[in-house]
Amino acid sequence: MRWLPVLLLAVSIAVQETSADRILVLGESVAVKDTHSNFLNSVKERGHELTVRAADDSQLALFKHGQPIFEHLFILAPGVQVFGGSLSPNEISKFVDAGGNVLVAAGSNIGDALRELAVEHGFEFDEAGTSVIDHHNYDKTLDSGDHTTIVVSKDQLINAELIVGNSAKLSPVIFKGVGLIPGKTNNLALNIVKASGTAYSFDPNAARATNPALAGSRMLLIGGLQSRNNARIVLSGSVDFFSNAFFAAKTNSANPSVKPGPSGNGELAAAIVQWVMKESGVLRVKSVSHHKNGEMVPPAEDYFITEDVVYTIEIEELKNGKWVPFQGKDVQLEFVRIDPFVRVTLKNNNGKLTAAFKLPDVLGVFKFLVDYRRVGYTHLYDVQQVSVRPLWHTQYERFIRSAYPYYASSFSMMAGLVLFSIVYLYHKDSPVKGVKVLDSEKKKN
Amino acid sequence: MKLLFILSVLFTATFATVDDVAVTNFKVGILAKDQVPDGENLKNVVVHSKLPNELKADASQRLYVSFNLVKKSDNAKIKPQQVFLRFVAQDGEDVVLVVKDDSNGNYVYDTILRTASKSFRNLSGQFKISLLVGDVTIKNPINWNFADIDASLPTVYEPTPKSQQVRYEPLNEITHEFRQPEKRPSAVISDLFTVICLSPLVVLIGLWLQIGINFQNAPASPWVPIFHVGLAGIFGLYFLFWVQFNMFETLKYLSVLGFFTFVAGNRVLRALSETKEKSE
Repeated sequence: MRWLPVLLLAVSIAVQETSADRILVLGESVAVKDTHSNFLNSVKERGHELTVRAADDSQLALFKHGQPIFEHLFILAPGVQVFGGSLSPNEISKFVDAGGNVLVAAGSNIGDALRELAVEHGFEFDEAGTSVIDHHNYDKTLDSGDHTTIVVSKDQLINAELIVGNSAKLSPVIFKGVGLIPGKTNNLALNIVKASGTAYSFDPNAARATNPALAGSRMLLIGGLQSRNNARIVLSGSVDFFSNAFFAAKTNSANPSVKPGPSGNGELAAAIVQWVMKESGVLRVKSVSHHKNGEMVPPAEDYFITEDVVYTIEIEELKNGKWVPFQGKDVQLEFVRIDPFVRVTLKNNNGKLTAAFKLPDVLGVFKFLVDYRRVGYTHLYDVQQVSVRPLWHTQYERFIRSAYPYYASSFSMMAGLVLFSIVYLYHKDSPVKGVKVLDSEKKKN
Repeated sequence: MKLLFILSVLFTATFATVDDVAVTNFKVGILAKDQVPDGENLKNVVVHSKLPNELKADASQRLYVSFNLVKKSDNAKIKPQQVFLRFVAQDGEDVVLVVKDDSNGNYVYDTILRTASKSFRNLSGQFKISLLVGDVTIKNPINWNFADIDASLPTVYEPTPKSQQVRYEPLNEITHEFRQPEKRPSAVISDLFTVICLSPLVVLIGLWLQIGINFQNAPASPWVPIFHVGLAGIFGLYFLFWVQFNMFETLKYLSVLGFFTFVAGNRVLRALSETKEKSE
């Protein structure tokens, strides 16, 4: 029995190595397992562990002993008014602060819980009872007569392959639900799917849209956010967007320029869920080094001004569960003392990014700073602090041509002094004939 | 009244489904604050054509748009759910304004732009204006870009603090401007002045030779060469200090050299005074 602990340890390591993320899926009832089975199975097939619960289940909890017990939270329950158990919008914010990722799918029957949750994360859903209406782009087959089942074309998607996949090849997708808008001060908001210019959000049963709260392409159908701790949140106005029915549906847009065909909901949902679960667009720094040009290691003490330095950073990207060299060509290095003195674009050689530049002729404490923020990628931030000191007095230029007059005058004075000392000491005046010797001279002698 | 409303809803819902909508009497113009709209200051636009000239307006003026919406079949006025004006700025941002109908069922949009600019979220400049008409009962929803407008609207500069800015695009590269070294005189001028600086020594030696120097006072003492070699040596050391030695090395050598030179100098002076005393 001695080997039992070893075996247990080995098993626990093996369990940790597989990237099985734990996901809590909340539906209005557990029936979401059936209505959204295609979507949930696609997640399960990638080796993740799904726990499906009703949103008002009294046993719900995201934390146990202060530790999150799930990596991701999917809320596919638009109508929920109050979450069950210890769950609340506030608790979900804490979950995000702890690094958890959240996918929220709402609908026209949106309850207070989701609206409050959206506000916590810098978004606002339109009120319950409203729908996104588009008389120009509704689906002729699926729509029930109020033009709320709308066909979304690919030019409404965000220009970020990491989030929405290859949008150029994507078929139109179907959306039915509530409109969304980012808060005015939400600088991190990502407009993943915008509404078309002809869409607006209003009660579909009203005779006249007198004052729609949201209208035009300012309105979002799907919004996203990557918080400052790189946790990701996606808010979709439509829970049907992820449903089996819409995955399997064929689009038939009222807009004659959009060709009918199978819907792209499955592909778009897969791309978005991979992004929100941090399976795509994740970067990390493998190593950072900097040294003087021609040397291999950083200087023992400080850099001197105007020295040529070489900076190298190795960046890796998570692709299909493996860390591979990052191929981005727009990573920039800043050499910062409060403000950047130098900003250069790093040359990428298979994940090894290098820049060579001359240090500024300013002394001080500087930072090699890589602050890489691109839509879809996690925020990459690396700081290396170095001191740059002025030259020693012996390191300045010597023997300047235009200073030769100064050198010449000093040394001619020294030579003159040597000669003068000889002449002064040993010269003997020969008395000049006919010159009257002064009285004072006589007395002296 | 309520009954009438419900009836009208029912009417549109039941009878308009099969019909197309048409826009008639479409007029657009920019008016001054108190100007009465008439045939002169408004322009008719034929449906699905575009106003040839760009409209120009400032915040104090009114944008006036009026039209009728009728069924194509029997020319009856209708009231669809969506009657909007959509302004698209050059960067693709858009603003949607609702057009209301008057008591006669005519649609009129008549607002001072300063008032309308509240919903423009600080957008200003050139816009494309489209008329959007849609309803569940309409077969041919209208999305018609009827005019372009250059509207100078009031904007408020609301900068985001640097700490809150999120920039996803690469920034401009910065190259450090190195301090330019001071401009130096040409080699000819420095060499000329080197010669000028050396000339006093030459003049000194020349004048000495002219007046005839001699060394008749030199005492026959071994200290005489030692002293002068020592003195020259001190200056030589000074030269080496300039070229390669540091302060501590220099002081080390100077202590030896200086001591001997000092003693030798003392002996030379003593010899000189002894000679002087003897001659007197």
